[in-house]
Amino acid sequence: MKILEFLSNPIIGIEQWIMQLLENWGVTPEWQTFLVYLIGAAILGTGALLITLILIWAERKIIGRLQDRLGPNRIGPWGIFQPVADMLKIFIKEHIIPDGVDPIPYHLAPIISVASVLLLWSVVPFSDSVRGSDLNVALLFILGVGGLGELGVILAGWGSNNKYSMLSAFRASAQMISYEIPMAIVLLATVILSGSMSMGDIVKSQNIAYIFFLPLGAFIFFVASIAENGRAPFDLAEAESELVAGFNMEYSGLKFGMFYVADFLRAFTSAVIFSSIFLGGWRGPGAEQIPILGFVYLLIKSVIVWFLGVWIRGSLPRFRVDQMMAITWKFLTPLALALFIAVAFVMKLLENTNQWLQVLILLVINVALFFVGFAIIKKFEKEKERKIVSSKKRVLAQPTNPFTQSETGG
Amino acid sequence: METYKPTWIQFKIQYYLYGLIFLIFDVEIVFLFPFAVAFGKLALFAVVEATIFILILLGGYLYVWRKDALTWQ
Repeated sequence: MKILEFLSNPIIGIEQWIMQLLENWGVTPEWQTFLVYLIGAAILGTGALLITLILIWAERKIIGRLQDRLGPNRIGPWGIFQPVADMLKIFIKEHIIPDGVDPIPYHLAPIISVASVLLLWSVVPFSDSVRGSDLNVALLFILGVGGLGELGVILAGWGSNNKYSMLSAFRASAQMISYEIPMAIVLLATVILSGSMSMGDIVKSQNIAYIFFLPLGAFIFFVASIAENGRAPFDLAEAESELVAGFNMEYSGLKFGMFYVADFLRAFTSAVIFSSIFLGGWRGPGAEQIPILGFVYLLIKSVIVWFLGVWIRGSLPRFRVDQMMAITWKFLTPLALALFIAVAFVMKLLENTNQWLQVLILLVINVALFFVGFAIIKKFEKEKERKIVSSKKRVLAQPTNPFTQSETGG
Repeated sequence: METYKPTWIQFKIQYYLYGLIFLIFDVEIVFLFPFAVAFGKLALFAVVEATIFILILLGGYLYVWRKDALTWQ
C-alpha cells in the first residue's frame, strides 16, 4: 500500500524523504527548503537538456522521413546514438574565437540563449502539486523570458564581427518582437477565461480545454510560437542562400552546441506551454487521484503539438521577409485584437450561463472571425498585386525543330 | 578572415519603425493585463472602456498601416 502511494506520486515522496533526511541532520527549515529547491532545479534543468538528445534524434529522423531520406541510421539501432556522438564531438572541439569580436556579447550570447529556454520550464505545472514555482504572474514571466531569447540572438549577431551575422540578428529580432504581439494578446484572452495569470490556475480552470473556446487563438499562438522559435517556415534568420548560416555562424564547438540545443529545446518547450494553456496540461481522466498520470498526459499532448511543428517544418517552404512581416502585422495582430474584444464582450454578457453555451458561441465567433479576416486581407492585398515584368511568351531553350537554328539559340 | 570595411553598419530604418510600433503595442498589452485579471469583478462598462482604449490605439495602427510603415520595402 505504501509503495503504491509512493508510485502514484514519486516526486513529492522523494521530496518528503529528502526533507526528513535533512531534518534528521539538523538543518534549519529555511535551508531545507532552499536545498530541496536547488536539487529540484538541478534535476529539472538536467532532465530538460537530456530530453533534447532524444528530440534531436527524433526530429532528424522525422524530417528525414518527410523528405524521403533515411535520417541518421549508422550509430546504434536506428541511429539512436547519433546525438550522443554529436555531443561528444562538440565537447572535444576547439573553441575558435574570430578576430575582432566584441568579447562580452560574444561569450554571453549562447548562455543567455540556453538560459532563456531552461527558465521557461520553471513555471510549467507537471501535476496538481509538482511544479518548479507557482508564480502568480507566470504568463508575464513567459513573455519576459521569451524576450531574453531575442537578446541572445542580437548579442550573438552584434558580437560576432561579421556582417552576415549582424543582418541575420536584425532580421531575427524584428521577427521575434513582431510575433510577440499577437501571442501576448491571445494570452490576454486566456487570462480573461481563467481569471488568473498563474499557469497552475489556468490549467486547473480548464474543465473544457481552452482550444474549444479559442480555436482561432490557439492557431494564432501556434503560428506565433513557431515564428518566435525561428523555425521553418519562419527561419529567415538562417536563410542559407542569403545569410550563410545566420547569427550563430561565427560560433564553434560547445558554444555552437548551446545554440543548437536551445533551438531544439525551445520547440519542445513552446509545445509544452501550448498544451498547458490550450489543451489542459496535466488534466485528464484520473490525473487528480494519481499525479504521475499528469506527467504522462502532459507528455502525450506536448509530443503531439511538437510533432505538428516538425511536420510543418518538413513540409512548408520558407516565407519571404516581406510576407513574414505582413503575416504578423496585417493578419495575426488585427485578428488577435478583434478576438480579444469579442471574448471580453461574450464572457461578460454570458457571465453566469452554462459553459457549453459559451463554448458554442465563442466557437462560432472564432470561425467567423477567421473567415472574415481572411476575406478582408485577401481583398486588400489584391489591389497591390505586382505588375508582370516578363513577357508572356515562354522562351524555349530547345528549338522545336532540331535541324534548323532558332532565334533563341540551341 | 577579416571583414570588408567596418562590421557594425547602419541598419535599415524599417527596423526602427517596427520597434516603435512594437513598443506601443507592448505597453498596451501591459495595461490590459490588470483588466484581464480583474475581469470577473468588473461591470459591462469596463469592457466598453477597454474596447475604447483598444480602438484609440487602433486609430494609430490604421494610420501606420495607410502610411505603409508595416510593409517591408
